[in-house]
Amino acid sequence: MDDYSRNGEISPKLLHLIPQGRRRNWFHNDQASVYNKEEKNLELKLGPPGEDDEHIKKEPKDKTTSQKRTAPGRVVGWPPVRSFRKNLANGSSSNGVDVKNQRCGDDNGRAKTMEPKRQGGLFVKINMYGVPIGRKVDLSSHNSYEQLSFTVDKLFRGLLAAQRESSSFGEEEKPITGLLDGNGEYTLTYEDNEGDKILVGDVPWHMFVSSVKRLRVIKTTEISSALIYGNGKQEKMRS
Amino acid sequence: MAEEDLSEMAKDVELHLKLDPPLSANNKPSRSFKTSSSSSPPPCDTSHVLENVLENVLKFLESRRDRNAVSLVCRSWYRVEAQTRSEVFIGNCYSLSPARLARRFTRVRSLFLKGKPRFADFNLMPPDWGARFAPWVAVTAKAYPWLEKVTLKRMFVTDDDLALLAASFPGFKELVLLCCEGFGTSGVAVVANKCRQLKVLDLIESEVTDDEVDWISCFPEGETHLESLSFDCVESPINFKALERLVVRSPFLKKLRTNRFVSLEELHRLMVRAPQLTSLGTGSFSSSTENAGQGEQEPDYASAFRACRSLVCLSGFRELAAEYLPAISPVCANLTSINFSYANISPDVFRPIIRNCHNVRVFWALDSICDEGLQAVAATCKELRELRIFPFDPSEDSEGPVSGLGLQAISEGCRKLESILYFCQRMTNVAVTAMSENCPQLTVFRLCIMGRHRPDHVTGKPMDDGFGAIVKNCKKLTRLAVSGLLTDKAFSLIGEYGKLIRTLSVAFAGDSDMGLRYILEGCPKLEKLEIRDSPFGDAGLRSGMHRYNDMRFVWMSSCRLSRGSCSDIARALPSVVVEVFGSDDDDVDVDEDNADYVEILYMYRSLDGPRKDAPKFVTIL
Repeated sequence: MDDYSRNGEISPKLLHLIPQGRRRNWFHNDQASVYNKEEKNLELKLGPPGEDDEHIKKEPKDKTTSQKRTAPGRVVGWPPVRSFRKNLANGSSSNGVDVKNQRCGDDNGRAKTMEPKRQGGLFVKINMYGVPIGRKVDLSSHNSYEQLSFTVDKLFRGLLAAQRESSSFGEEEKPITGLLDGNGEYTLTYEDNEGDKILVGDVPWHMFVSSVKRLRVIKTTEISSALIYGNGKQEKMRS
Repeated sequence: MAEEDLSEMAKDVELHLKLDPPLSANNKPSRSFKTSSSSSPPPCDTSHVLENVLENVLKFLESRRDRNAVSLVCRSWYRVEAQTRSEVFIGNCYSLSPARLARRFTRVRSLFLKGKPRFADFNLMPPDWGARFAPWVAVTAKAYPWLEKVTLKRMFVTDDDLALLAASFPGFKELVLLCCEGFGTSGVAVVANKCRQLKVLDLIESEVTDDEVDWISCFPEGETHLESLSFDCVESPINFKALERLVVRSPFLKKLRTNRFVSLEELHRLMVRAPQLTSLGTGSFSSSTENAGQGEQEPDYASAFRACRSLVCLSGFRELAAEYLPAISPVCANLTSINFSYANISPDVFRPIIRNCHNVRVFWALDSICDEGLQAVAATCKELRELRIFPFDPSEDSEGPVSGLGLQAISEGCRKLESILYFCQRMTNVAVTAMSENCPQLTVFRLCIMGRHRPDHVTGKPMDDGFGAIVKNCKKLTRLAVSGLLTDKAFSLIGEYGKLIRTLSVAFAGDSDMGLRYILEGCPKLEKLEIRDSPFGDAGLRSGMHRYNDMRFVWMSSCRLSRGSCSDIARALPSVVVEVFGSDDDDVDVDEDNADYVEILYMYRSLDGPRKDAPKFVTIL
């Protein structure tokens, strides 16, 4: 499920398109606003609304400039609406207010056997080297490693670009490729239910899903050292 | 309870019973249960007679606040009260142990237990935190074989718990699960099957896992005692034929709330078989795909509604096909409660419907009805007591179809308003102030301006004045939730004028510790305080030291608290349990430098000390 059409996500390079007045309210207030002083937890949301988000720990010393630039991301549990109220954009009748976030219509809410809207989902955390903000991925909405790799690229491309260049907007965002075959700058790994760190891609997809506990995107150059500290379940890289 | 109330109560009862001499000459209720040392004869001569009389008198006393007062008069009254209290309310399941409950109250018929704090609803609490029903059902199964009613809110209930409940209480009549989780359709099936006296089975806003069990078929054959069956939150299909048969053999059924897997055609069949219904949850309110557009004659929905002459409460509309909404017109004039909060209804569709709803007292809807829709409500619903407007698109940057315009219109039209929950993107102080002036009966005011720190969108000023007006003018206010850009001044006003406030919710507000201090040094009746993402720190927390024993709980998340102050509180107040934890249940990313930082503080008073079932990620200081 592709959630990137939601207008909650504002990547850094679009920031300058936000009308000045609106930005001003968020960044500069007449009164002393906590927003300027306070390091904010930037929670970037992935997946259907209402699911758990990564909640990054506060780091008072580490207030990078990129945090100030980035638009306020979504925050866990805000607005305070219970999760079953968050999926109303699906399956509602068409006589209402224009629905911006219409999901693809093949699975509308009238079918009796439709998946429950707010339940289920297999969310695992995913962190990427060099990006302080973690995300979560819903594995139940993926069917293959390729699809997962695609999602990882979408999740982190903008964040990675923001981390790398702290001064310029409009920086070309490089797609994150080669996560599965060892050819890219980064490689996708995971931690299973026994705590082993393993390269993603070798076992059948459903086996992976049943044992994965969290994901990490590491630098490809770090692979041998990462494996050393794992239990050696996964020695070979795909060629 | 105020001490004056207690002594008045004691005096009244003394006079009524013509007690001579008084059992307790003290004006202050004494916990040590000392009787008067004046010229009274020894209590044991009269105590049996008195207890008997008292027992008969106390049977009429239902309010728990009054009963709490009675129990403080003296030991004898405490005992009698404990024996006659049949409904027990426990606002925080960790404030006492089940054993203590069983020791004190011996004849409980009805139990209401609340578990997790409200912010858990918004994913702020890691899973598996606690609030398990298991220890309670285990103890009550032995202590109260005649238990009839259990109501649980935000508790973790398993199928095994439900099975034990069903097996332990032969006279069990009512089960209400509000915002609960941990169980599935198997547990529901056991209750349906084994509780032969069941009158009420209400699953409300709970998460019910789909175990693929046909629980509706598990109700026993023959006539049932069912009066209320609510399963609108159950996100799995049901056996409709079984439901239909169940309805037919439930002559006492008054409330039926179906889930979204019940189509309009099916709803029609149910309505025709149960015209005596007073409350109806309409399920999907759209046509099932098999019938759509076929040659078959469509049922006369309006006629079915017309036949339900007692219908006063409508909800559901989970997948509303708006062209069918006018079918409810025949009952509109009788409706006192309408819940459209799952239906994306536009103003044009809404207005002709609400025009006839003169008697509505409780109205829930989505903001898709827009300010225009709210104006229509204001024009017609003069008896409105409770309004809740939820966001169709709950994000910070959505369109925001309702605003101060709608709020002000409501305040002008619905003067009897008592309770409001209003989600919006933008608001003005003028509108909030207007409501404070037009609606003096307000006891609950919850305004959620979804954009964090958003000021008055016309003046650019903080929302201090608006909320200030609310606390100043709404003298009956007991519950307040604030939002938008707020400075410490807002809290100074809340602390000063919020004399009856018992519950206060704060998010992304305030400037400094002073904000928290104002609240804790004011608001004399404060019992529940929940704060998130606000710049309140240790000094603010410490300033409430004198209060925490008298409050039910305090929740503070993503504020500026450190372990030191939380430990100090734990040390100073042994009857307050202080829990600190993070928002995630694994500590993989613990940053050593931040080990002192408290992400979530949840503290509550307790008679039995720290709980034994705390998970690893919770630290009890």
